[in-house]
Amino acid sequence: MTDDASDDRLRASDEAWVHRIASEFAAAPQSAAQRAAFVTTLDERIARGRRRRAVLGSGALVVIASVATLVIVHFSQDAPLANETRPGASVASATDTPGVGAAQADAILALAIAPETASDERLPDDYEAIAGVLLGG
Amino acid sequence: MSDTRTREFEAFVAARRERAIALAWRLVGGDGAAAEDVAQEAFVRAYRALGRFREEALLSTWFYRILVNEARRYRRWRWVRRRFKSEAGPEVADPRAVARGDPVLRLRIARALERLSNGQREAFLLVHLDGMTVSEAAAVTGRAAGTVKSHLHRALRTLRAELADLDPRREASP
Repeated sequence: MTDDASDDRLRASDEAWVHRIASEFAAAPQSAAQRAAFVTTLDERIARGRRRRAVLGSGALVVIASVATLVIVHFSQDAPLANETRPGASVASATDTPGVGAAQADAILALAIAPETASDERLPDDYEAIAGVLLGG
Repeated sequence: MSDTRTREFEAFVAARRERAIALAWRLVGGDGAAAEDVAQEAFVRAYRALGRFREEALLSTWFYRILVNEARRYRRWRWVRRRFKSEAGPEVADPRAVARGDPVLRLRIARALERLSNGQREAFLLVHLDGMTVSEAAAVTGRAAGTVKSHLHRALRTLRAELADLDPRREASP
């Protein structure tokens, strides 16, 4: 018995009364048929739950694998963007493509605003002058 | 979940099924079909959560806590259903609700118990009718032992007043 045994012990005058209530307010024991039906239903429900969890588990694995594949494919297609020699085009494709990571977008933007140092990317001087007038530079 | 644990749980179901249904029957107010549903749901939920079962809690205490919660859920659902259907009277007796004793007396006791607060009713049923200690009832209901004692005291006083004529000594006296 626990320490609180004295607290839940009934007074002698209450014991018979509580015993009467307990015997009057009680379910009858299950019959053999009811017991069998209960156990069968319980087994079926537990087995059904196991199957459902197995299906959900394999479904979740398929979804995770599909998402992982999509991400890998997506980033492997976007990878050349970082080496694009036409920064303007890179920015356009990066911003037009949903789901591009912030780091990747920053890298593309940095390329776009970087000074053009490659000699083959420089415009001829007369074109530069016209561009300067047109762009107000 | 290990096979050992699963086998332990199956043994537990076999050993406790009868008591679980009997306790559920009292907690839901004497409805046989509801008691079986509540016990079934409690066993299924317990099985699903078995992997998360913490060893420091006794398996039986843990399970009866689930059972009491299921009974509470059922009672809330029944309250809502009655409210929307404007059912004032008691539920129609279930044909499977075969119980011991006098049906009229059973209904009287059920109604007296229904008038108690949830805490008082649970404390009385678990401690006095089901034989749990105050500590066990506190763990099962999620209440402090002191609160359970207080509920017990009030439940006993109220029921004593309402069902005083059920005292066998009183019936025996001329």
